[in-house]
Amino acid sequence: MTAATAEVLGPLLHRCAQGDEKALEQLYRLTSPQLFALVLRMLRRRDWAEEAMQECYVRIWQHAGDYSPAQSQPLTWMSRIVRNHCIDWLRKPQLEVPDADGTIVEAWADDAPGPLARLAQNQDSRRIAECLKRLEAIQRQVIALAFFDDLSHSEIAQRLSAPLGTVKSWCRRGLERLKGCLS
Amino acid sequence: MNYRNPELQQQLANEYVIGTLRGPARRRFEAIMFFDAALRRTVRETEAQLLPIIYALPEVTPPASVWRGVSRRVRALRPAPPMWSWESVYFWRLLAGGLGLACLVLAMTLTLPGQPAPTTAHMALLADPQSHVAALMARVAPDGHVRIATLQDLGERVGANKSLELWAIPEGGKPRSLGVIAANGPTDVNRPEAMQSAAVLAVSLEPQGGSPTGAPTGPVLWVGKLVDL
Repeated sequence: MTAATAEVLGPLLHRCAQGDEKALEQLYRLTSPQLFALVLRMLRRRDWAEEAMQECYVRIWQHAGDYSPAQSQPLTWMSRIVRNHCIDWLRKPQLEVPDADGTIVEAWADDAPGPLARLAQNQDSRRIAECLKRLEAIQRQVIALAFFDDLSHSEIAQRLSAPLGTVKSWCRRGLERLKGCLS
Repeated sequence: MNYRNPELQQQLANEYVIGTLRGPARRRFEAIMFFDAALRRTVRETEAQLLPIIYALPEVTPPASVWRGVSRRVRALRPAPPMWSWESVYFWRLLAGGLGLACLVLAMTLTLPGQPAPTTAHMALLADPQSHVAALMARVAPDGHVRIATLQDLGERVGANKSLELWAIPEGGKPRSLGVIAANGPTDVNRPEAMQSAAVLAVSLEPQGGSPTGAPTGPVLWVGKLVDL
């Protein structure tokens, strides 16, 4: 599946807001593979990911009326709901979160064909792919560890065996450069 | 920290979206965003630019059981015919209160059309009645839609097997349930009928899933008066 466009997803969200369960099913078919990949990556456990996905789509269904096409793309709006749900999930007290698998550091290195190539294929993410390419590899890796593995600055510092202050500055400068390029 | 500084706002928005803004700082940021439209806009713009990064992940089709679960949960949310469910909730609640026949009259008056629509927005800061420390902020839209957000994670106060329930209390009246709210983060409540002439919002500690009786059964942890905006 290539990414479904806003022209398709927007009206589906609108129909969900009116209580059309068929529209939710179509929306789910079109968006769940991308969003499940995100949930699985962030939560790291399949059983959690499957449960969280259900909660996310119920939330999307309940809040579809709040979606405004003028403010965001449908998938951006949905991925915000999903991401915030995963972040809340991982912050539950007494939750034993398994370690991230650590593949990100290599995958986001300079010459790896994976993530950047995938980003470049998609119309919605081509721009961020170009801008990510302009970052130093280490800035890109730090951003990916924070975003996909939901690691804190200090967890990233541990993983990369780098001083905390350095990691913070990689992250901040990387984000500033990325934002500057995207604006 | 001066949240009005646009550079700092952008920096915090970046960290919020990418996920390195954490813990109390994240909650504080969300509470400010809740009331600050400009900050919300900055975050939305940042999300629009950064969130497409999710396309970097290869797609994974979830098992069919996930859709079945979504579908089941959504069906369970289907509203009963509105008049009937509204009346029955009222009927049983008031009957339990021992008000008898008078309540039927009241229920009928309340269903009469033509009640004046409220026109102003309200807000309330809900604080511990003893320590006066604020824990939640609520905003009530003119149509009765309530958005309430915790100012910090209240999970510890709630504990396991308990829920926080929000109540609207009219002047001299009985608390009306607005449902269970999240112990951490914002909750949206759309029960305008329960917000009619509400003067105070309160949050009580209840068994998991909310009060079984329709009236508060546990201690009231936070209370706030509604003020005009």
